[in-house]
Amino acid sequence: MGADVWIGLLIAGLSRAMIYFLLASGLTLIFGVLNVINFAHGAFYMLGIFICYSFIKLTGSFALAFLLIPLICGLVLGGLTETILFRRVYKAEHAMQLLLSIGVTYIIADVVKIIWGVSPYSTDMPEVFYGVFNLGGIIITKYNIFIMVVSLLTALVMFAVLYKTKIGSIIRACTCSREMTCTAGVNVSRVFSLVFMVGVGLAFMASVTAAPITTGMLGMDTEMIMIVFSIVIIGGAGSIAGALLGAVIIGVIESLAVPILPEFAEVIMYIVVAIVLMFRPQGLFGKVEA
Amino acid sequence: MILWEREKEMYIKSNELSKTRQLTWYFIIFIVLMIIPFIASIFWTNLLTEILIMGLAAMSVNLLLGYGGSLPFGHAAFFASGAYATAILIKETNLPFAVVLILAPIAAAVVGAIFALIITRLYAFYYAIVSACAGMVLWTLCRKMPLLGGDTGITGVDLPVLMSNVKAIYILTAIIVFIMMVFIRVLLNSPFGWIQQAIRENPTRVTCTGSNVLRHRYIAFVISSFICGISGMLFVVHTQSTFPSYAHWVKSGDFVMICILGGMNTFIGPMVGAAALITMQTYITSFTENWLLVLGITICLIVIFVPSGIMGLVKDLPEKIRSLSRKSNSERRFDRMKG
Repeated sequence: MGADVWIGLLIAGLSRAMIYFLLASGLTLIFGVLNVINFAHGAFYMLGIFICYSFIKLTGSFALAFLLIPLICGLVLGGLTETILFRRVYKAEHAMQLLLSIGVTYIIADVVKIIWGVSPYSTDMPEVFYGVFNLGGIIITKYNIFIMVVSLLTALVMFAVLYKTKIGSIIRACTCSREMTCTAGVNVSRVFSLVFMVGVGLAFMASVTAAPITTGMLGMDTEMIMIVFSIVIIGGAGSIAGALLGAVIIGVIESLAVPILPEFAEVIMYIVVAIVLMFRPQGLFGKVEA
Repeated sequence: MILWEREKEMYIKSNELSKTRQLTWYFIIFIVLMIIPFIASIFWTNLLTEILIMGLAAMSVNLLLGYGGSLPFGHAAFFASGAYATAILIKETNLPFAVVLILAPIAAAVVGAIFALIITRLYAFYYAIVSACAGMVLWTLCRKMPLLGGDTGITGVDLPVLMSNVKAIYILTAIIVFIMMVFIRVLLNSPFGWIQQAIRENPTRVTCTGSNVLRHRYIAFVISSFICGISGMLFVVHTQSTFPSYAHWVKSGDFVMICILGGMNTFIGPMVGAAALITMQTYITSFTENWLLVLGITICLIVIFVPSGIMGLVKDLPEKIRSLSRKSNSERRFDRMKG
């Protein structure tokens, strides 16, 4: 195989990695601030792909879907699940939080089955993104560039908000100590709701971004969530930069492993996770817990 | 000093008393288990076999979850190892059935010992996810390796003539599960079990007392995977087939759910949880397709309202009733005023 094939795979891997990053950033934000393990993240992703399919069929506009779905679903679904369910388990053991989010996963999976049935759906690619760019022999589809731009912009906005604004410093303060932030006069539970909504919104953003190149089907949630969780832990739970680096590592390795060992690409991915954790049990950017 | 001696004597005496009581309980449970297949219909015998098997798997999870304080989320891997080892040994070799019954759990323990090298170094969230990843590795291998049957799994595992009816399978299951339950009980009441619980409460302090936390966690993990392998093996004997989905993390989630449903800090909780879950599943799937929806809602309700599980509820009940009746009217009014 020539170098161009490898570069093509590398680019495909990077664009996959960017979708992983969108998912992992929401998950790591929720874990870092709320200290909740949210297995339902994958289910939100699956739900988003199905909603996106129906929305585009109804309105015919990808741009509208891209703007509205993350916003509305994040606010409504994120808000509902947080206030009804997750708010009650912040202080419970991790096992309880984990089980609760599995419960939510089951509910969403069955609701999807009831509404959309068991057949797979795929969303059409908007016409703007047809075609490829040719950069001196390296061919990149327009949509891959769109994915990368969206994800990197998201990362930039997240960094800017977290480190340059007041709400960002409040969120980081909540990560350090919930009680102390509370005594400083901040309504912590409202901050938590906000962070959860943003996290869920990011999951829906990932699904809208991924919808034109993915086939929505039942069972994709349980597979996706494990990949995203491995990204979060090799990056270090709670770290956005870690999520970005982890996503790039996992996405590229998954993509490059395909021609070498087509059947066992996933296994190679998990072995990488194991190796990283053997040398850094807290993840690449994680802090050592006292 | 004298006081201490007397307390020690009393402790030994009460221990002996509870030992005889325990032995009586073991005996009663064993007799009941053995009588059931001769009274119950084939449907109930099948159901009970499944409950015992899932209960044993959940108990092996509970060994780490409820007593060890870690979050094992990949025990489906060892369930599947036990299952696949049994299926392959019976299909591909001519080993006697009894030898297979010994080798299959050992295979699961070996897989567990390899994974534990990485997993037991980690805590909390990392522990959960990496053990789940271990399960997913096995899931991929089961699906892709031709030896392991691929996506369709291995079906039509022939059992010896002796094991040809439901009741024989039930009796084999009941005996093995009973032995393992006694084993777990003895293990939990040994110094090893106490150190496990101490690690759950505070690993740093256990290190200060001179015990090797890592080694204890490692050994507990291997024992737990061995027991989980046994339940996988029994499941193959029960259904005569094995599928890749046995290694998927959703299965591990089932085990954790059974533990919490039954009460994860109690010994018998997982068995009660398995009975509740499997009976519920059998009834609900008979009239609706949307079992997952019902299950999901049930899980949410349990986590929010009954986090201590069924056995926790049963344990607290006498105390709650007593505290209710002991309070006078004025005390109760005061309680209400306090809000």
